[in-house]
Amino acid sequence: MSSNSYASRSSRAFHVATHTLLETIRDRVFGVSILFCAMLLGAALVLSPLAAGEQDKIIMDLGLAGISVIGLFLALFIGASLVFREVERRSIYTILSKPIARDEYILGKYFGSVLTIVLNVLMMSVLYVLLVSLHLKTFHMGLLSAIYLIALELAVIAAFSLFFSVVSSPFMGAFFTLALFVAGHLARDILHFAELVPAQSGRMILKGITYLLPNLEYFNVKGMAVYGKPIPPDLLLFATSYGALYIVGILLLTMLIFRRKDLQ
Amino acid sequence: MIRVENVSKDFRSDFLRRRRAVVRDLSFEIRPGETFALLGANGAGKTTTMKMILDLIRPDTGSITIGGTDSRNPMARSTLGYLPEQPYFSPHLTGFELIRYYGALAGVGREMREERSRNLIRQLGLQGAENRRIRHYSKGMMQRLGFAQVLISDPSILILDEPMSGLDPVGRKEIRDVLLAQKEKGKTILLSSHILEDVERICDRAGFLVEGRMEEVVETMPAVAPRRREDDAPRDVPSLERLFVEHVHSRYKEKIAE
Ligand SMILES: Nc1ncnc2c1ncn2[C@@H]1O[C@H](COP(=O)(O)OP(=O)(O)O)[C@@H](O)[C@H]1O
Ligand SMILES: [Mg+2]
Repeated sequence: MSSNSYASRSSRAFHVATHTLLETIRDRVFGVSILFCAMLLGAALVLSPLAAGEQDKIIMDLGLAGISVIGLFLALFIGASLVFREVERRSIYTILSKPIARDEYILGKYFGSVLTIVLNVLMMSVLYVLLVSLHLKTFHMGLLSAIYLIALELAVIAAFSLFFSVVSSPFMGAFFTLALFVAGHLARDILHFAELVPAQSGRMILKGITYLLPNLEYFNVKGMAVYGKPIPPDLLLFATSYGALYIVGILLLTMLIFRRKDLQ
Repeated sequence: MIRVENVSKDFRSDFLRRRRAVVRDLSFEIRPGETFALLGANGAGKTTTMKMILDLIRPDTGSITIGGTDSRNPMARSTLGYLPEQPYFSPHLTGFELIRYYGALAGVGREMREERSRNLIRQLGLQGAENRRIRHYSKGMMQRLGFAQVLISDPSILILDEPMSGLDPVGRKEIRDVLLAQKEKGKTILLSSHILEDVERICDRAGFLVEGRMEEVVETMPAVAPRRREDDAPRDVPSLERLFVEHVHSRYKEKIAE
């Protein structure tokens, strides 16, 4: 049966992805996030009267942090609303009544949200690179590596966000994802903290949870990049495999749960 | 064409997590080319039954096949269109984009999608609105769009949940004409409705759902009851309304009396 072929099955996920992209970039949130980024960088421009030395670095650092945080909020918003809103608004009924498997739907939604986030990061990065190269005149390739890792981290966050969106409500989903972001960046600190917990069981639980969480600091090379240090390729390779592993794992879990869900 | 066998479904209400049987040991069959109506009071389980056929809700027990394929296989829906109660679509897409999108999901080729979308927009009276975002659509336009996404794949099976509810008489007539045209083409149709007059006019058979059970299947619609011979008096076929009152209201009276 031709409609059962691999090509047409993956093309269904592709159509879900492209339409998710279309829907999310038409949502107000997308425009607002770009506007926000432009304002942030504009402010940096105004507030740095021919900055030199350390001040350059602060602006470069803040710019990267801005891209990361704005991207995070977009990922939170999209992830939280993606599936849940379609269930709540019942538009998912007609989509899943077509010959599309639930797994394909989840894949499509995930890649749609990643496409949106990548596009968003790309647009913000153009503004950022313009600021850094034209105004500060301190552009170098390490900044692009840093931006790549920010996008990768956001792709990991988007997978978790989709997962939470399937198992809970948009509000709780956004809350859990935010908590994951914070805990993921503090993973090492939490481990240190765990050592201080007196109760053996409490220590084990805390450690267990921390090992399940992704260590998001692997995606953070902002410091290195801002100081112009080269980003070692094996660090990029490691972070890429690490991120990919988490994405695949979380997506599989999401599919497994979504397969069993009653869409009442 | 569609075979529902011994299907049961409990819902857990959030409150106290009590289980409530919504569909109980339900069995029925929809034959190829026929138009079958699911009748019943609000909450009888019509929507749940349809959603189980579509694999949106999984039965606790029993099995469902569509054209011989297990309903859990997505390919069972390869030639099926579904119109939910009060359909809703992504507000950020335009009507035209949405119809083509659903066509793509249904596996319709690009050129065919394009051509059929344009035809459906015309047929369903959506011209002028097709390039507007769906969030500006009225309820009636949503219903037409709902029909467009059903028909985009020219499906051989149509599952329509209350397709005529919430429409004015003109809208109802238009939808009825669409249905009759589909019926004419030999499509298999399952619909739920409250409007018995429409059911009598369109449907071949009807099943009465009462509290998740199939109480009775009406094999012959009163309006088209055949006579055995020319000179025979019309057979005494009870009107749907009388059956509806018998099955549905009598239950209510019993309940109230309790
Ligand atoms: N999400 C749900 N959770 C719990 N009960 C539900 C849910 N949806 C429907 N029900 C109950 O299931 C029963 C059948 O509902 P439904 O299939 O929508 O009936 P109908 O379409 O015939 O009006 C109703 O009593 C309804 O209250
Ligand atoms: Mg209903």
